[in-house]
Amino acid sequence: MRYELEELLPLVQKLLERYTSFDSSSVTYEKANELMGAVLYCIQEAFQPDRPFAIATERTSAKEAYDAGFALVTKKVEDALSLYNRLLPEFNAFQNKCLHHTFVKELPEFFRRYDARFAPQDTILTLDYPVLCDLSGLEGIDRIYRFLTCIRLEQLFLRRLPDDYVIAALSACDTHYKDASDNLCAIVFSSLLCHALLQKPLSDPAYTREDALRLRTLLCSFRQEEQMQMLRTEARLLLRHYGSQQEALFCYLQDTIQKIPSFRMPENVV
Amino acid sequence: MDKNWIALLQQNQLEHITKLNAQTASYGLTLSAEDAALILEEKNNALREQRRVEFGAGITPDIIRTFCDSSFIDQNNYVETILRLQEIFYLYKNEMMDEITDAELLHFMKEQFETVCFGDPDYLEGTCLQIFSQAIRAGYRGYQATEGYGEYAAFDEVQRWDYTLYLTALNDLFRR
Repeated sequence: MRYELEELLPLVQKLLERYTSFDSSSVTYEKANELMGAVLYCIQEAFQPDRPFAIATERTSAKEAYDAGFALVTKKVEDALSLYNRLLPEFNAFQNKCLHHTFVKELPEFFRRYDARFAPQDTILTLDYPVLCDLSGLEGIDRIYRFLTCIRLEQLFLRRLPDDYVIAALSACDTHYKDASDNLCAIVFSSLLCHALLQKPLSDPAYTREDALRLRTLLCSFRQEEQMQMLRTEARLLLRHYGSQQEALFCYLQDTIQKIPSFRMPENVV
Repeated sequence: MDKNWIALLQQNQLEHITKLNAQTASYGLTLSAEDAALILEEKNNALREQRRVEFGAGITPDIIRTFCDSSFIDQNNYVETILRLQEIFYLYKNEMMDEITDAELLHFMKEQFETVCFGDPDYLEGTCLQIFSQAIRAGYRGYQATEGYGEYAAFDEVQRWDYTLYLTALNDLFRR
């Protein structure tokens, strides 16, 4: 939904006055643009399509859209904080520094510093730990909330596996995994999937060159589309233990499944 | 979003300036429509140069109200002084990183303009405000309690006469 400048300016002006507490009659260009960004962010929030009912329509005024969007932003911050607090007690970074730092150290800073009124578009954090969905089009609380839902799925997946298996699988892939910035879930799921395909016991988490050659031979015996179908079928079998979350996990791990043929090839295995 | 929306915020300020003649006339100061237009045009130039955007009535009416009773401003230098004070104001809002409110800065400027600067805007810009802005950038916030009054003495690098003592000394000189 596109509004004319004349509709947006009064909103920006009100925000400017509020920002300066009426103590300043001017601000820098950078601050003015930031506050215009704040207005647009809230308006866009009101028009997001993924809602059970329409918050704003073509007949909604800019002010109504802004007010509704701001309320949604505020609610999203509360929901994100609630999700974070639910995840934190049982959170396990499996000794990976990147994941630990991002979740335990950085995220509380976001909730402390996030300004839903004057800078809702500011993500504040770099979110160094790489989740498996594309966050590049998101900013502000939208990005953080999506990040948290990804972490929730990952923790859900990893928690059902023995800790020592997870650590062994991570170490088998990279002995320096504790200092690396790779997605832990993708590594463990790949390991699990390869073990299932090779019918190798989980008690032996190592992945040797011979295992890689056997996997290549197995995958090459299928045509490409049959290969993907086979991998997806095997993945669904693995995830069937996750009940109502299996579909969400399957979607989350789609890319990982598609990368199996190249990920675990002999060239990548020392 | 282009910068045109910033220019739109700054319309309708001419009226606010000309209305002030009713207040400043008692000090022998008035602005013609051309003077007001010039002040507004130069103000917009100063804002552009300092990369600032103004909203509402802007600072010019406040500058006029604050300085109209100055001992150093008369009808001959009224417009020129207002133009300089506008430039100086926006410059130092930036130099002080918006840590100071409009009122605090205006109070400081007026006080120094009337005393230490003896009505010289160049001295105001190049000395008092420069030293004060350095203190603010270094973290000084004492002006918040005083609203910008009586702040400069703590930072003044020049040893000055006490004004009353100076007048007394001058009187004595003339009597001899």
